[in-house]
Amino acid sequence: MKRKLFFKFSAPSNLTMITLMLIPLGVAVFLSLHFVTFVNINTPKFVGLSNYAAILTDPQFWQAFRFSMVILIIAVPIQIVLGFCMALLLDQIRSIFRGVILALILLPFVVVPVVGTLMFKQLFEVGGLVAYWYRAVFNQPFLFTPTSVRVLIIIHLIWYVTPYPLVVFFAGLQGLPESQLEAAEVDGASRWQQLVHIVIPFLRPLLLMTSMILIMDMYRMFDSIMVMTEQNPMYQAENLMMYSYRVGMMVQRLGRANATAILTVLGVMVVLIPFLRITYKNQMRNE
Amino acid sequence: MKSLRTTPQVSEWGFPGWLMPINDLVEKYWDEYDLGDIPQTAWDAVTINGEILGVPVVGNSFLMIYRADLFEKHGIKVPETYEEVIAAAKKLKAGESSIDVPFTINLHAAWAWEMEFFQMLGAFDGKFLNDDYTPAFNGPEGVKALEMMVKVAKEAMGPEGLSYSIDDTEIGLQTGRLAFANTWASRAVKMNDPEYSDFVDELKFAPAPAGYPGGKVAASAWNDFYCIPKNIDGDRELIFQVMMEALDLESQTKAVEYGIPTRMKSMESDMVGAYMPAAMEGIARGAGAYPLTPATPLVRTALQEYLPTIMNGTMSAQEVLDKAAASYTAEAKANGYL
Amino acid sequence: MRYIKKKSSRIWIYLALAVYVVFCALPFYWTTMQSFKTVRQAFARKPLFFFKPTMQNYQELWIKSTPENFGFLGMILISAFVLFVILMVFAKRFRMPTAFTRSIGMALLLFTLIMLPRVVDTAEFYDYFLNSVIVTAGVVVISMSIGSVAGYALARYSGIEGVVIIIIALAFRALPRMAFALPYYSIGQATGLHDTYLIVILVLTAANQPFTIWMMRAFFAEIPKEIEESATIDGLGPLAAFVRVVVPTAWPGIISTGLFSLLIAYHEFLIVRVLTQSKWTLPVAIVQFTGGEAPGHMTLAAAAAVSATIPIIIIIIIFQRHLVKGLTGGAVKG
Repeated sequence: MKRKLFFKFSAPSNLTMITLMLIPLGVAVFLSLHFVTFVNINTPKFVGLSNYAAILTDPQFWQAFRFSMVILIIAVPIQIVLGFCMALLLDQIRSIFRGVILALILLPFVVVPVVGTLMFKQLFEVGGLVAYWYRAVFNQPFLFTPTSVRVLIIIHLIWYVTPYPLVVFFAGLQGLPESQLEAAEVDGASRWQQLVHIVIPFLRPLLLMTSMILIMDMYRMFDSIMVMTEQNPMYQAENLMMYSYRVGMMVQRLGRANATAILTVLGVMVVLIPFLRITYKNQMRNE
Repeated sequence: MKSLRTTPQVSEWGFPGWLMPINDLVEKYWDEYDLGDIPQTAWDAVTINGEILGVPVVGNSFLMIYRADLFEKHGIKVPETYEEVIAAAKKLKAGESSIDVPFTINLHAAWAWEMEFFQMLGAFDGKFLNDDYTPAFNGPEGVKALEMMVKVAKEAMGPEGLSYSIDDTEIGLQTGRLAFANTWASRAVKMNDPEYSDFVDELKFAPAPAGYPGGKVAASAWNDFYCIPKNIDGDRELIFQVMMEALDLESQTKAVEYGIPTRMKSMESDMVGAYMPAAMEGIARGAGAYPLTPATPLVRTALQEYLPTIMNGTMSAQEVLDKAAASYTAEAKANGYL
Repeated sequence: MRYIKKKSSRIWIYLALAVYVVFCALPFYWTTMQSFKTVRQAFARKPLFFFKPTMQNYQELWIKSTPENFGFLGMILISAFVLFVILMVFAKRFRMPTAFTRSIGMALLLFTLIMLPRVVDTAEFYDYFLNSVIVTAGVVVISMSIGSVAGYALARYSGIEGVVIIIIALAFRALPRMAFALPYYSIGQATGLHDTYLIVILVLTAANQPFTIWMMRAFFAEIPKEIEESATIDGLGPLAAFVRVVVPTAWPGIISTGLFSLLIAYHEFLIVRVLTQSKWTLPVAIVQFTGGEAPGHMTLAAAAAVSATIPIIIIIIIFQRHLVKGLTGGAVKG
């Protein structure tokens, strides 16, 4: 395809994407340097970097940062490992059940996130099934405390997101080099050895890509935490997105909230840049 | 195109000038729609600097709902102060195995904490703000109020009661999980309805508990208002008339089922619930409505941010309130109210 | 990997999968049960598994009062809906392009949905549902029409600019929604676009583009170049060749991508919450059912949750293959 035609074809999409995403980023940078509330939204007052200073010295920001990191460190490895194991098991099912199981597994991932969280939470609330089991087993009520709410959020994120790596790995398994596996078997390699020496290396690019995507998605998780905590500070389960939302929409400090958003963008760059480099290399190799 | 706003939202929307003043229309239609039947206090709650910004539709307040059979069984007399509430709750917790939670006020969310605090603060004769908008809620009355809330939460409600939402409280009373509660008057409506309640004859009503004997009760006065947004395109007079149709005596009389209608004449209806006297006590002897100042929304936000953290036990009531006051002061200064 | 034949091992495999499937499905099962209970049954101290189901919650959610004057307009709507079903089911039998017939069908459906409140006195929830339909339809149509052309161009162009755009798209995809939801709040206020369908659709389309072009590019790359080359020889211009020759062969990929576009728009909470006040979609509306001051009991929330999930379940049943393909085909969920 000629260059001119390429630009003609891709212009509508690129213009939409780049203008509609760069303009707000520019506005965000602008607002982050100003004092803006809902009331003086049309006459912002320049305050320099003081919004950033206020955030970086706010203990609540650091608490939100810590919880964001806790989510990443605990949830992502579990999602990957659980997804991988379940994909291996599902690969063993060759009957009609495969489709049925797959459909059920996909449910948490394709349901509206807010609704999924609501459903998940209902199990633990007054009148909920798991709350009842909990009381039956431990002879005490299930309580929403800072610890239990944080654990619930993480379990919920595992419930919600694991289908994604699962399906990706499952599809990857369908493309395994059969001849290599057969050769290994002839050589007397055990199942475990096959897994470690052939299957995992084969799926390595997929593992890497899914981990990166999961890290980025967990980092910007908002809906689930919003529904689970109902913005109650008692649970101390606020992540960076919730912090920014609260400062912007509740405290009405739009300038400071935008500064938080800019900081979170800078934060995601840490993960993003190596990811982009890998992608760039892959793309150049393909061309 | 009319929109419904509640009491604290009048500050939030009225001061920035997002609501349309309707003084002329109210005056013009005063007699035609018998607007004098709506009490002056309700009009005051929607009037900023002499501009009337909405029409009061339905009111609400707080009252205590209790299981008379359980109180009788354990020889408890209906509590009038929160100290008595705590004593009664302790007795029920120790002696009554049929319930999960003895007592609740609504503390399941940040905004609920702030609301209960506003009521409790009133019951200890405190207030949100001084006249110059400097914070008053972190004074000794505020500390007493918050300490009382914590005491109620720990000794009368327990950790399970802390997660009870307004819905949970209503259903808890109807299904026997809960023995008594201080809750919204509008939630009292279905207490004696056999379709919803297992304890039709046992659930009784009393005024909200007071902070100290003979003091004000921990209840607030609420109104919902029909307001017209300022940036509206349509004919404002027509909209006003539509609002008035929705406010006629007939529909107001029906509204008795769902809360406290603002038309006093509707109170003469036979449908007036058994809870109405207790609810009216809450309005008459309670903390009243949220103060109409531009700074009120900032106070509420600051309190919502800090009050619930007291349950984590790392800060005293004074420290929590001082933090909220500092946060409020910073915002109020930045907005030019101080 | 090789099929495991040992009986005992297979039992363990099935058992482990069963546990995981129960974990996935339990919340759906329980919420569905709750949605058919009265408030009293739903909060019973011993959970009820067998009970007489009530439609009360769904009725309260969707309909204000039962219809009285179900007259002329009602007949039109019913016939429009019937026509929609006929068009969708027998699309291939007509002597017109299938896509064309299907589009007419969709237009009829949209017409039925929008006109329905004039016949039946629907409750607020229906308005939210309609908002969801409008926003989702807008996003999918715009996003797919500009995104598929761009994806095609990216798949066929080998210059460095293509790679750069792909990388920029990936970077945008990773941005937290908050980073543009809040600025758009200010932009909306300044331009008067706040609380309109337009701004929500535009912002969601932009947010959708990165993943749409990634996915479409991957699908188009699988289609041999010879197809459009022969079309160009036949005298078609590049755009005509794309529309008439390439698109029909790429249809499965377009469905996959469109599905994800649809899901992203249908799922969105934050952007709709921040950018609208009266045009809430289902996710925003449903959050209001939980623990607010208004008496929206959990059974009502359960009915709302189930109602919002039914379209999704229909999608899984019809398009499961496309979904899986979309997830894996170089796809990156937005």
